[in-house]
Amino acid sequence: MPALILAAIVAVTTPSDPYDRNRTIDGKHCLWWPAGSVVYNQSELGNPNGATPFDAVTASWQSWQAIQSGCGNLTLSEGPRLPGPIPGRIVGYDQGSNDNYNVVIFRQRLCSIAAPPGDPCFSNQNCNNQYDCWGNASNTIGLTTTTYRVSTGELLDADIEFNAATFHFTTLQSGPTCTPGHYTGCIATDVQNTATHEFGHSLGLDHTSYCDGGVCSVMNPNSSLGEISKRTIDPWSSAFVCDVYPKGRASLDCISSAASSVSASKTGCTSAPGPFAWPLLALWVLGLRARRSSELH
Amino acid sequence: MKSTLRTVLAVSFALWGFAVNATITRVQDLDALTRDSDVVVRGTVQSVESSWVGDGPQKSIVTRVRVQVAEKLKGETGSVAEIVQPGGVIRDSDIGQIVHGMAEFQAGEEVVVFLKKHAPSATTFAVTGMAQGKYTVERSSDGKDAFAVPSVMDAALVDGDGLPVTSNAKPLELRELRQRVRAAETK
Repeated sequence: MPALILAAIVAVTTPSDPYDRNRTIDGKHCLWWPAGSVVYNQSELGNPNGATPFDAVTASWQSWQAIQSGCGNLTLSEGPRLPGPIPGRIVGYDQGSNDNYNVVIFRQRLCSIAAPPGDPCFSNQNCNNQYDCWGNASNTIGLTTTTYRVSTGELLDADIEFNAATFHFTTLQSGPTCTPGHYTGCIATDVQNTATHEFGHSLGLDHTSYCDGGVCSVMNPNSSLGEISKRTIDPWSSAFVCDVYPKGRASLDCISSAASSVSASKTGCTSAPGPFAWPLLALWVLGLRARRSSELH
Repeated sequence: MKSTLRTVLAVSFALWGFAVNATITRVQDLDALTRDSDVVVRGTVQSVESSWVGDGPQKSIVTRVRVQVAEKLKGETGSVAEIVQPGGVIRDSDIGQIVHGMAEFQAGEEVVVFLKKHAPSATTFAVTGMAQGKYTVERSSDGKDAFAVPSVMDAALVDGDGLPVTSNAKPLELRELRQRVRAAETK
């Protein structure tokens, strides 16, 4: 019996949609920017311990903007590079300010080295801002922090940090894959590949493992050393832009109530099977297995 | 079978509420999670409280999760383990912050968590390996079966050399999880 339950649990924990959207913590709303302008700002510090990332980061948001230009209601652009430490090296959101920049930062040091032992910033989890360091797990490559309105899902801010303290970022247009310890004339963790993925998160996209015809989503969670395929945005993530940010219209939320699920699915809010299907699928799996079991006996 | 159905449905409905995570991080199996953790405990989430930290433009949201410890699988901690992690929702403020990849907690849920101190002298913890370090305990209604269900780990996972890997974290019986943690600790 435990094996049966485990099989059913596994069955309900492996969704893979062409695209999936981030939601508010209560699950009631998807995250979306209102129609208009979204401006990103790179820190002027760049990535002094590795390849200069500015052009690659710019190319990343421009690839999303190319889709927006065709069918979307957002204008993505890049503001001036920001000096540090404030505002250029700060992640977060200040409700009392109109200057909440969407920053792109390459952190150069781990907070475990940059901040004094015992500093309260460790237990407050804000050493990254205080000491300009990578404050999350050292084995995490990149992190996007998004701030939103709980009541609507409207996005207010999106900041992207890269862990250059641990990982070696490269910008070579093409070339062989680097081997550990050798990063000249080769591709290791490609900036544009990674940043295109992260900008997808900043627009409200979540990960999906969806692949079709040998093409995987740019939001596919699998990545590899030397990978550059995510520089090119796949058809399903492009469809997300057209569905959620329709040109000339308001951006679309996804509503989880049964009454509006039809319109939500029509707008491509979440593709099949969608969260409502999983409990039913679990029931079906159990029922099927129970029937087979009884037939065998 | 009825209790089985209830268990599966309970897990399924619980999964509805998961906000999916997104980041790029290294995969850690149970051995690695245990090795990298100062403490591994099973317990019940007492409270989840979010607050602002910092001033002016440095403001960000952190969430404090208090876990009433029922069982220590590795290391020593008090009767309550306090987890502090970035992101969360400020009550009555309409502002939420997602730091993609963090584990999510709900008051009342039973969990097994792999925890690492924020600093050697700190009394608060981070979840090891982000969402990888949290398992939710689901029990059959008759209480005979208990399962540890990993957080929906939707992060990009790479190995130590940056090569792609797939998380092999799967639901397993609680007793097996307990055995594997204790075995890893003695390695």
